[in-house]
Amino acid sequence: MSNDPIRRHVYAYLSEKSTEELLETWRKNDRFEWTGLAFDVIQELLIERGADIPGQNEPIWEYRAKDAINDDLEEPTIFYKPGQVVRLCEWINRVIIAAPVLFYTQELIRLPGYVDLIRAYLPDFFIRDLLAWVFALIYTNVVVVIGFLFIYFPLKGLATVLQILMDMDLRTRSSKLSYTAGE
Amino acid sequence: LDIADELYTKKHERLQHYAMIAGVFAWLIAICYVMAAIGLLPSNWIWHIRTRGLPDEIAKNILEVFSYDPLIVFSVLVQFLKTILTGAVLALILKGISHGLHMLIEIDLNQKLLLQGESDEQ
Repeated sequence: MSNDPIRRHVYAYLSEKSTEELLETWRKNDRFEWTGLAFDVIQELLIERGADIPGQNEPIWEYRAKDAINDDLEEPTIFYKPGQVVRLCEWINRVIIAAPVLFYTQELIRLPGYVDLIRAYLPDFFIRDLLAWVFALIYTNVVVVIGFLFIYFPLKGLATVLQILMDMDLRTRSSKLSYTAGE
Repeated sequence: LDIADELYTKKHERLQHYAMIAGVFAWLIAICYVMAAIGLLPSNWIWHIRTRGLPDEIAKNILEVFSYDPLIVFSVLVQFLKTILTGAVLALILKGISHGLHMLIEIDLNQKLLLQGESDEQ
């Protein structure tokens, strides 16, 4: 077996799964849920267990939490709707994309004003205009980056926390279901 | 459901209350910012026209303003969109907090139910 600790960890985790589960994951080929390394390990495990390796479906690259929730959740949530959380995360991602575009547009419109302002402070010499443009561009970029980071970190952090919480809820739910099913 | 009712404590009730307030505020903020963006449009429009040294009469015709200086129209539009974006960011954060608190209640109750089930089994 490999000396790579991550690979060993993945191997240990996946080796606890039954051959049927591994075959199902292999066939489903969900690349959003499983990494390339996981698929390598699954293949290795299937070969070790002497299973025939079937063909794979088209790889899935997108987050399909909404579908997964609708398919897998046997017991509805009481206090929130998972679909709404997924939609919220999608909106957060849209805002994160829209924000820098809007900031850049606004600052580019203001750029000539900044150039005039900076030029007024510079002494009169032959590269004054060029320097004014350079400083104005640097200032514009700094303003846009700082403005964007103020939006990016809270929103991205929030989206990540929500996804982790949803995963935690699904895990506690599924273990509760498996416990109930075991009874 | 009776067991779930037993597990639902005052702490959960308080948390649910906060979540509800955050959810309501999210909508309020979204509406306020949209209204502010629309309300500020005329004053922004006039301000941009005056700072460019154009006469006030021209303000009534967007196409005429656009032909004089397209940047005025873009500036006002971007300002409008930025106000909406600010409102959207605040509303999304509050809505996220609301959902997060609801999820915490759900997780806590799930785990309590799970633990209770395990102790019953023993």
